Amino acid sequence: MAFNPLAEQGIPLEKQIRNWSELNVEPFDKRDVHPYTRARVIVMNGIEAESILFSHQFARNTDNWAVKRQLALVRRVDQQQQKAVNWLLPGDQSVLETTLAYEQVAIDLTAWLARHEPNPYLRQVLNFGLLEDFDHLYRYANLIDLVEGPGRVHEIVGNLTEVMPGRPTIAQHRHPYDEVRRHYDLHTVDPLSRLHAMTIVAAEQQTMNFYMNVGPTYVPPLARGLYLEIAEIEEQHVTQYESLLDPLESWFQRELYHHYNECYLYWSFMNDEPDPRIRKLWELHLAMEIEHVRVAGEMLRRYEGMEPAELLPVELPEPTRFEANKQYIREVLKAQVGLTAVGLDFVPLVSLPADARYFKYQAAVNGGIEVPSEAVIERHVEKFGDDFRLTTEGPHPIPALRSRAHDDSQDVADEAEE
Amino acid sequence: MATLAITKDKGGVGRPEGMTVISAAQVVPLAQLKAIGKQAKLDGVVVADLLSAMAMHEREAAGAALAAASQTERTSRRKTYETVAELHTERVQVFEALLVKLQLPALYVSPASRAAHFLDMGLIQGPLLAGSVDARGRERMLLDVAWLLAEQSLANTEALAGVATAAATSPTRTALVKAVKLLRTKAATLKKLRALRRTSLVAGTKRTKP
Repeated sequence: MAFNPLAEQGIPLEKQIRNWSELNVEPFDKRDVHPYTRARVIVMNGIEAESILFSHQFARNTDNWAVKRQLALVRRVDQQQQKAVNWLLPGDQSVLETTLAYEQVAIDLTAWLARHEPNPYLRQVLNFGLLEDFDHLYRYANLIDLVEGPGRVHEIVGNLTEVMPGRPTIAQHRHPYDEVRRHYDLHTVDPLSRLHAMTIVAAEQQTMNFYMNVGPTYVPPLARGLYLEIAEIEEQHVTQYESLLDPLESWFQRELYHHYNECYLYWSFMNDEPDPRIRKLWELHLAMEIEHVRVAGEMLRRYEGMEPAELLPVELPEPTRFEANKQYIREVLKAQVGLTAVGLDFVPLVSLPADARYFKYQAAVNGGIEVPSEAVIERHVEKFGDDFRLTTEGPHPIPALRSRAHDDSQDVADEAEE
Repeated sequence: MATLAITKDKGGVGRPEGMTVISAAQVVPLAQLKAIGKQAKLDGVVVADLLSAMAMHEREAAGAALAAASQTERTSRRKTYETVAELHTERVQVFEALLVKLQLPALYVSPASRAAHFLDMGLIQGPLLAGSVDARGRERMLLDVAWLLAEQSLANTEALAGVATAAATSPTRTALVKAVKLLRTKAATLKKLRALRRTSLVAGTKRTKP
């Protein structure tokens, strides 16, 4: 199934502009859609948004008319792609339901990337972030129960992703100095690692932007508080993941890599998409992106004297897929829930000295107040007698995080009844 | 065959420093780097890093010359840039062969190579500001980039000659001397860029007819 975008014929750029009717796509039915179809929609929205924002930044760093206008044209098409993708989300899907879906993306995408990441350090970075997003799903799941009533979580995540505590959100607040990581070297990096880093940056960035903007649209102070607290962690995650990218890659190279990654993901998702209508959209966008790769390659050739084929692998790597990662996440939980970051590396939280900046930062944001991510669980317990969990693979792997006497799997039965 | 863009697929290997992460299988051991300086009584790591940086510079210079060839609107300049690009590519080959002779990977990327790459990229991206200069200014910018990179190539050759002189009699010294000899053979073409720039600047200052 080898695929090389450079060897394919795409849709000519001048034929890519669509009218409002084509862009105003019919949304999927939130009750029927496969959770991973929704996840793919969310990922591709984030990927397009990143490509657009990068292109804007590039444009702000050049006054070369030929470059600017080429970027403007490709960016307009990317904007149209983003609309066609994101408009698949239905209007009756609440912000909190979408939030659960965002966290499911963060979990199952990060877990897949970590499982397939060839570089041990980059894999560790992904695993570290994975446990934090895993905890966010648990906190939001409890919030949606309180705000919108029970039954919502299972409808969104299905039985594909478990819901239980990860590295507790309250413990995730670290000093900004401890969010920066090392980066790959462009001359030696595995092409898959570059794609992984670009993909996770885009996904986390859109989550950060989403929470930054929708958080204050809720009335209950608890909801507003939880969104702002987790939005700050997403800022940490964007700082972490963007650190992985080699700053030595030039503007033109990064423009090429953005479109190459779009090709890679549309091609990956096209192969797994069960909804024929949405699969057609992935196919269409792949054909458009093949042309964007060609255009970016032409600019690279003209302005850097470099052939795109010299930089890109001879074929796309194995596809990125959405699939359940329950056992993998449980293993990572068992081994790494107690980690924190110091500088560029990860260490056990218990190894930190009492005067570590971690504790000072914790005191600054958590000290002497009710922390929303903890309060949401307390409120849930007050109202329903326990916290919300959705576990299918047995009790929590960390005994200290098994907060209740009854079997976690009871929640699954409860959900099914609802 | 010279490699102008180093990637993992082509055999890129390196040495991590500070912020960079390189998979263990692609890290060149320090012992291997040190070995090239042993008999020559030089710091092998510094020499290896210097050679890889000089090779990287030639790669970037070749790319810049090709880019200038595709952007210039003057036919004669295009030919000059193409010739310069060929020359830089030949120099890449000389450095890659030298690294192999010293029992190092041809595509070794040192921290110094990354620095050289970054410095050269600053120049190569000059045409990003092409919109606020006139056509003559754009040509001058392209020529300046090619000339500055060529000047560094010439200076690198002489620096390398100095390193060869400082080395004790050894296979490393022999290899360095041979490489310097090869690098000097076509220095005249690079020096022509200096003359071309001078002529071009002087011509540009002459008053045109009203």
